[in-house]
Amino acid sequence: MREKPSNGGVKEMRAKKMLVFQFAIIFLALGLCVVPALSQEKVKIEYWILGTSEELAIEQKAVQMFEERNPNIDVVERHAPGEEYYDKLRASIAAGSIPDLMRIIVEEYQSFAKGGVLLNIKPAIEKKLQEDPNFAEWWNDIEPKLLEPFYYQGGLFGIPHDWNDAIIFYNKALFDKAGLAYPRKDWDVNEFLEIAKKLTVDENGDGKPDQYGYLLTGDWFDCIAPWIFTFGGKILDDAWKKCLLDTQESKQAIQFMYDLVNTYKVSPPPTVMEFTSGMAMWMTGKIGMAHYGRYMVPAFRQIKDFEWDCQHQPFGPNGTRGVPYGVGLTCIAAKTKYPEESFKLAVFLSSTEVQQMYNEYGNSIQVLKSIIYSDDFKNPDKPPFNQYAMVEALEYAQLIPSPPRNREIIRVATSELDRVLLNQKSVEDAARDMTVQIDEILAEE
Amino acid sequence: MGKLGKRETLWAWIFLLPNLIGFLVFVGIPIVAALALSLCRWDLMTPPKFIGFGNFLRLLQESLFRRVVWNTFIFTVGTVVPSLVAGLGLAMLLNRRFRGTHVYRACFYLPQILPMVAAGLIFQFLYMSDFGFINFVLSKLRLPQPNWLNDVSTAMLAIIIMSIWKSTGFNMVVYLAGLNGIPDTLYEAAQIDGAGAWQAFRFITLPLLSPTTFFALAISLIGSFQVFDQIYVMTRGGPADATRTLVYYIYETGFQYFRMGKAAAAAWILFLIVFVATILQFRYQGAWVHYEQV
Repeated sequence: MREKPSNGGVKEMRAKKMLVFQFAIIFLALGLCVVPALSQEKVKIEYWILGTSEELAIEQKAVQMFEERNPNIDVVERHAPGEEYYDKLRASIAAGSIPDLMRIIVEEYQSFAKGGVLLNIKPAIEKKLQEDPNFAEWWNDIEPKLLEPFYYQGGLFGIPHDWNDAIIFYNKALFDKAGLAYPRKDWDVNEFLEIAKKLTVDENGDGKPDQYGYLLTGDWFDCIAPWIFTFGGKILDDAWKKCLLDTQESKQAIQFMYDLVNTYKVSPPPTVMEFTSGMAMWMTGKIGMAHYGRYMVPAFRQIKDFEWDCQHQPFGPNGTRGVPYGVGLTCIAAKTKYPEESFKLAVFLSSTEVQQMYNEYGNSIQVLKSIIYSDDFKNPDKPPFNQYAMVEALEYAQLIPSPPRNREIIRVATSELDRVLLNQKSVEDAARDMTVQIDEILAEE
Repeated sequence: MGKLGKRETLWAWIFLLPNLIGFLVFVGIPIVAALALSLCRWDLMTPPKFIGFGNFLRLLQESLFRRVVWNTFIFTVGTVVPSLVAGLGLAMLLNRRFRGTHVYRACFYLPQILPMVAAGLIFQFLYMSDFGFINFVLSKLRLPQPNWLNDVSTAMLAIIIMSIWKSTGFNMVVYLAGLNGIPDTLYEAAQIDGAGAWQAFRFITLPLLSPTTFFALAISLIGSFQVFDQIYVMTRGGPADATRTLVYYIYETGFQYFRMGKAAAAAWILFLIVFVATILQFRYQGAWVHYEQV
């Protein structure tokens, strides 16, 4: 017969059961804590991008693809439209909250690199080139002209993502109506001017043209730089330390812009705000020719009323021509906690796969030779059918000068150009004054 | 101070505290920080570097800054005086009782509640040289059609006209309130004494409205010195700096060129200008502002 346990034994058993129960609870609780903690070991990268909602959609798709292939990396995207982007980025940097990864255009590149915000990725690139043949193949596929200018102060602070230049876009319907042949690849400024004159029409006879041959936007990239370069001038010297807008060639270019507006009257007068209404004039078929880049192509593809295409910049009087080009880069913060993961994402965003997605959308030109020199790019099924001219123009294109304080330089130059075009100042005086002011800005750095 | 007095003081401070904290965090500390910043060079990326009065000296030597201060002065004079006169005129017209008074008052006040950005965009279209409504009307009247926003000589005028249109409604309402405060007995007495409408206006309405004018002038002046939205929307300071004003310059210097120290110094200069203008108004109000003796 089994002995009935004593009262003390029952208590002891209960205590043991309680102990086991308590341990079970503790283990369960620990388990519940540990499992999510393990899954939370994901690396979180903050990535800042600028651009339109359509560009954001592509970017989101690319990031999603990246996350699927790298389940341990979680990418948090922050987006701001163009104008606010750098304000927000700088404010964020000032507050000590620097995103791991950020898209930066060439115009801001030196300011950021100089400020110590960006990580020098040159060592990482060199290491990868030695270790990974696939990486080396991809890296060598980047068009050198889009990479070399970014070796700055002995380092490289970003991976080129896309680029744009500015060539002549023209309204085919207006050419047809005027019985003019479309511009040739090797045309010159005299032909350009003659065509612009013929395309300038005063339909109702009120003394004011209702249709202009050319649109001089007054914009730095789209208008001033192409003419300065085409006339053999330069904005700054090669080191971006001295202004060269008062050279004979640059002054000739400024005079040409003045003549387009005031002497030949083939362009409406520009101001900063004219860009908006100028764009409206182009979109409504009132402009024969204008300087634009591939960044406008998605918007232009919405035009239903007329066909359009693009052509090379005309040759200048010295037999040379030039257009500016600008590059967008993906840069990593110097203070990122996750340099390897950020680098991986930066490389992925310029991979053939993602570049192809951007190429489809068509708002910028890609950096990989395998895409831009391909037959598909040369023979597109959507306008502009001569889009390869934008790539060919790289032969004579010059990187848009982008020293730190670049925005102030642009303000000075566009304000002085306004004065010339509005007959407030002579070309000579304006060229001299803008050079003095720009040199002062450059001297500060 | 008695026990009750101390207790009341304590409660007063407790009730004031939320407001005081808000003021300190959003106004007081930023003002002091801006003063400290104005003595530094700071691009938001590298740590601020102390440069003493370098920013102030640079501003005073800069021809663009002088131009900007002049533009702000022109805008202020060009906007404040006409909008006060127009506000008073409308208030006088609409102070009478006739059919639809309230509708007219609402109509004239409407621009005031319209956001400046929306108003700026509307006027930008109205001012367009080739397709704008204003030049269309001028062409029908066979009058010259200026290139409003694109001409150095007319751009500021265009901004001023738009700003007068926008602010007159506010002054009208302020003057209407002032007119309601003038006792009818004074006009009746003047009428008995044989005063005409102009004399009644000159010797009763204007003097008794002087505190209202003083208030409207002070508010309009401060607002005009701070003009920004319409410039940002309509001209971005152009053409050729013709409409670049102080606050736009501060925005550009701080948030376009990221010269935070210089922008803070310019903001302090703006503060000093507004401060001196306001002090002068208060100081010389005795000469023309008449408070009704009760």
